[in-house]
Amino acid sequence: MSEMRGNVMSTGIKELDELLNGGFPEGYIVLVAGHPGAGKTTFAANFLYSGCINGEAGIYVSFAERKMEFLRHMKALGMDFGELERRGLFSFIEGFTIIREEGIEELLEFIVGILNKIDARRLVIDPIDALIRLIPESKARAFLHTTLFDIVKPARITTYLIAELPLGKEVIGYGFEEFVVDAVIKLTIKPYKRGLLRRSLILHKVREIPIPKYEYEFIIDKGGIILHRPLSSKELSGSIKSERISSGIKGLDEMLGGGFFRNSFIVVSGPSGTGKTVISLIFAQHSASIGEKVLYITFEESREQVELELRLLGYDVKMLKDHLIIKSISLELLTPERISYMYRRLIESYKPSIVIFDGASIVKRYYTEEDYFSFFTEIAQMNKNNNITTLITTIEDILHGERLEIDTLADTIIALSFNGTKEGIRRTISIIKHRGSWHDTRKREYVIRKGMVVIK
Amino acid sequence: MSEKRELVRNFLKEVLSEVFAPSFYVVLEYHTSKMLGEDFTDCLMRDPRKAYEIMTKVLNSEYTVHILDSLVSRHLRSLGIDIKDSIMKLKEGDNKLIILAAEKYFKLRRRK
Amino acid sequence: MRRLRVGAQLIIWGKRVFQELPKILDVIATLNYEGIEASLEIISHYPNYEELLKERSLVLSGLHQGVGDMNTSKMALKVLKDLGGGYLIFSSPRPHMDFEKRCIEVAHFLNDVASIAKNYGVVVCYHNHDWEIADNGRGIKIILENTNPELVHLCMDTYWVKYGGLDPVTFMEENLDRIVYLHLKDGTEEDFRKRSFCELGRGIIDFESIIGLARRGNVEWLVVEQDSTKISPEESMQISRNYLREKFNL
Repeated sequence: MSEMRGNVMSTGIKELDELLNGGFPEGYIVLVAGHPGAGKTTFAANFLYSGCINGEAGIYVSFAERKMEFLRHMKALGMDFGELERRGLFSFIEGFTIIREEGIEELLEFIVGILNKIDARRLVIDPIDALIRLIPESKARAFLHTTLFDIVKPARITTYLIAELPLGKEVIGYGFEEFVVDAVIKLTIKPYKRGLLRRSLILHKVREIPIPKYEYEFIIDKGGIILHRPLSSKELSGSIKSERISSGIKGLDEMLGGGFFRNSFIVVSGPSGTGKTVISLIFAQHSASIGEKVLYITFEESREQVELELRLLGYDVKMLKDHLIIKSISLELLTPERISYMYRRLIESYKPSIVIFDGASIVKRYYTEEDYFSFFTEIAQMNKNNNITTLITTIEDILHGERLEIDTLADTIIALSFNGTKEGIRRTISIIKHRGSWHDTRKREYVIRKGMVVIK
Repeated sequence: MSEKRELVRNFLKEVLSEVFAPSFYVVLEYHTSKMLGEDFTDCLMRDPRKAYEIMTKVLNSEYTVHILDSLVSRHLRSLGIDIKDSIMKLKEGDNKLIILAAEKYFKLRRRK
Repeated sequence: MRRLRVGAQLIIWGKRVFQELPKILDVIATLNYEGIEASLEIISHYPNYEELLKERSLVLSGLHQGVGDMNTSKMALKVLKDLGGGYLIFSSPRPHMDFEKRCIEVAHFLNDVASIAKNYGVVVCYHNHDWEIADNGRGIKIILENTNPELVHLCMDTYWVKYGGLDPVTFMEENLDRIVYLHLKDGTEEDFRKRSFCELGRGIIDFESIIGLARRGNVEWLVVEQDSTKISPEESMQISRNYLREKFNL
């Protein structure tokens, strides 16, 4: 989690801090409005936790949850507020108890007492509209506008006010704009395809920080909120190398003028039965056998199925195991940003030099076309930045006019097809594109024989 | 002394809440506690000038303190208590007016 | 379309307001002004201001404050609320550096106050001087574009629009949806050369068009604001009041 830098307060969410040049300016009042279940409490917890672990005490005033529930939920995400409380860096106030029994003035005195006692620099009130419901409206508003404001602003206590947005409502309407806030963040949860729910965050307004009003998807995992942020053009550092790497298929290397380029993005496309998986497996095992670290990701088959295919092709899976990691991913219950996060974790932990995605077209079945393109754009960018050569297989029959949506991402496009003749079905292979090199432009016939691809 | 102190404290709590904002007294408490480590009323009784300084800091300007003082005077007048400048006098180190205002305020209350 | 009400700004009486407000209010009431526009400083000088107004059947049309201090603004809101609502009018000195940044800061301040003012039954307006109008309205455009049009309105000052270089009638037409309050101020050709003022109807401001637009639009208050006069304030305010009554039946 980020640290506090100067007079900027980290949000506890690395990607969000990057967008805000480190975090919110000290003393900001931030309105966090969101749908039920969108992640507001976790968002606020990230903020407090990042301060606490750097010695900045924080207070969570809740009208929605009991302390034990909060501590339990956050501990499961890796944020141990119980420990911070023991160290005097955190305090949880069950606001509803105090208000019901004593009243708003007593609640405020209580909060102020704790603010002083632990010298809090961060404050969360969750949710602010519950406070308004518990006390007469005019009193609640005056409390917020004057009393709260006059405490946190002069003392430069950075404050999150959490507010509920009813499901289906997108507009932060009357009752929320009125608060004198420095930033407004909206968290939403919306249905995606196939019953999946997708969380996203919009930075509606942040005073004095010019930010694009963009919707960022996020997931909740260990550590709290992980924002999915597309790489900016500034962050694109990788490019194709001039070094060649063999495809493992002699005839294909010749057609490519010597093989693939390291760091390139290769697409092997063709309808079912043309041998895409065979070509990708040959590339995988050949690279692994010469010491490359290969990550093989399949969306279509199980790991066991892939290992069986390798054996049927005549390869010793056990021998390859140190250099070839096979991951089978089912997209059924995963949003695009969840997959993206999983992928990042995989390449961080395994550090492959080659990544193969077999059955990439499956992604289109589960996600929108836009997300499909964005996903592979991100993969292409990320892999280039990390000096990874990428090969993906898709099912488009380019040679018979089908469009390949991700053609602009590819440095090399290999098209596979069938041709029906009197003698039977003949498989053909063509190099449609191969950046930076001469390549064979002919359509050539090939056969798959005894675990090998032979190009005629 | 402590009885007078309680009187002034409760007077400030009620009147400031009425003329400006609910719990505004708590705001003053918070800032006094942070700056001096003591209660606002204790500060006012011990060092009225300091209490005035804190009000100025919280309200951002002497002008605003002056306005607040006028609003307090107006409120007291509406209750039949003719005391003006009770807050501004703190600047001169004089807390007698505010103590008098508190005493009259609660005397009136008891009568009712 | 609302009923137009005529008010008097106290500025013409200068520092006399701090000693002689009851007498001044007597004059204003006699001249058939419906209300007064004052500042928090003046109001707070008189703990019994509410009675002073009630006794003379006058209302407080608005309080005029400077941009910048939130606490004073909140106090002004409370005063207005206790009196049943009204207008909180803000003006700002000319920025000497970082023009655009300052204008945006002004806009943010106005948004903040206006968002609270809603609950007090008070309407927030920005009052222009000449600096916002100069350079083809550069400053006022920035302020209007960066404020919430539903919450922040305009108090158009007729003289300062002209002095700033724009035609007040055209300016009013273009911003009619945001103008809810007018400062009626006049000047002769010579006055505009010397930055001085004259009584309504004696100068070159086209009040016929202005009042016509005011009747069409959403204006409530027409406040006579004459910063200074060569005659007595009482005479000056009488001349202006008579002009509005005789010419426009107001």
